[in-house]
Amino acid sequence: MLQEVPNRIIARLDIKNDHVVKGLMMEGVQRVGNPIELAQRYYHQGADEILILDTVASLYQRIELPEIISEIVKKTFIPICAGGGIASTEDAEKLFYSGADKICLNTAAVHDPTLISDLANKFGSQSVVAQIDVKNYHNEYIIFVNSGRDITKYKLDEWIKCVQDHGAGEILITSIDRDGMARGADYELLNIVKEHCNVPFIYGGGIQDNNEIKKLFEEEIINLTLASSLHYNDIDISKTKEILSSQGFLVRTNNL
Amino acid sequence: MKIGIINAGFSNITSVQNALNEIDIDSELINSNNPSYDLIIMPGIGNFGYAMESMRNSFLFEMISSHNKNQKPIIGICLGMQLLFESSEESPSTEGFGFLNGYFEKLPIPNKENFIGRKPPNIGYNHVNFQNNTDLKSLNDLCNSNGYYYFLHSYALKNSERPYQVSSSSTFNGEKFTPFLIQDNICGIQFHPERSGNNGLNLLSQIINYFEEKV
Repeated sequence: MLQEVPNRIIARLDIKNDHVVKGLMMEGVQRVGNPIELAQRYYHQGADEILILDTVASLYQRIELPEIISEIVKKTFIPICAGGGIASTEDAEKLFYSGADKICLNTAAVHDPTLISDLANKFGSQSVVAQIDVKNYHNEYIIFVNSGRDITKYKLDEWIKCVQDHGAGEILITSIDRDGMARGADYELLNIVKEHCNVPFIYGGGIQDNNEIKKLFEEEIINLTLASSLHYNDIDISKTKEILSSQGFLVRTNNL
Repeated sequence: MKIGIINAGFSNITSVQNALNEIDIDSELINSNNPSYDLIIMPGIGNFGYAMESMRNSFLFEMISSHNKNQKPIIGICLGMQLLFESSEESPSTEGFGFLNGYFEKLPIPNKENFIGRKPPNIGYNHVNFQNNTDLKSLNDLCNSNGYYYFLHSYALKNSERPYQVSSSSTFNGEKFTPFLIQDNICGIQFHPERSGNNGLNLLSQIINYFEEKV
């Protein structure tokens, strides 16, 4: 049977105090633009989805995204996945009401995984994404929280199983080691992810050019997030899709 | 044409309204039983039984039923499409509006022969092929909208053999279902045109043009 779903390119916006920021390995963040402008730019380039994450929300225990999202959705007609600092169903509700289609859970879910099942029961598994930030730590893949600042007790395979058991509909994997480094994806990590995920997963971290995207699609890693490579104009999604489509990869373009 | 959007508290109405704004179509939220609307849009996310019960407990059930009786156009999106039919496996004891015959079944689980098996729900972009079963030229452009659209659902119209005026097909784990149809005054859309980029916006504007010319 043929591949039913197209490969997806997701534009990731990390937010800090109303600005889109980008760092290296989740540290030393730099401002790269305005979230509303960037969301629109990537939408017009042909992004399949916008992922918008508040990088400091869980540290300060606040949710500032709803205002930004309600502006973004006025001019952006693709799915929006939002997260950062969600610690309760009320927090999630605020994001849904502002226009998010899916929400993304990270730090609070690690402290209490039942938050995932509470949200999945209330809003449906399809709307609940488990965000997993992972780092190679003494030769083991370990989960980190608070935007890569704090180590947890979970190993990658255990945590994937746990979020799936609690009803996460999708899993977002970010390699902290590769984040912002533009030197390729972590394939060793991806092998573990492929082995243990039975819900769709999304990968981000280190994807620097069209060749890397192609390589990942060939490995059947079909959902990718891009951040630095978009912000610094190394990749233009419309051109990337044109090239990949001409090489036979299934991608959504505006006239297909 | 006066367009009203059902505001039943279980749907993402803002995104539908934003999409209509983008294609320069005026609309308002329906807050009371008002027969003056020419076209009703019923978006919806959530549970079939819960949504239908809350309609029955408000003015909406009467209003939508008499709108249909008067052959005025109704566009149902996602759960809104499902409610226009008789029933759904999701809530077997609940009757839908029943404007069209048919029921919604759970999407199939993957089998081992599939290249990429997917666990329901269907989240993401799927390809839709449209088919004009009439000789109406005004539907040709609309039926040229083959492409990817954004889906978010667990139940689908799989058993429909009926050649609707406009019919369509998509597959999930290799099994066909009907993601879009137009029959008389009814348009059902299983996917989210308001979340499907330009394809979705174009389709919405085609549907509304079609009904506008018909009214």
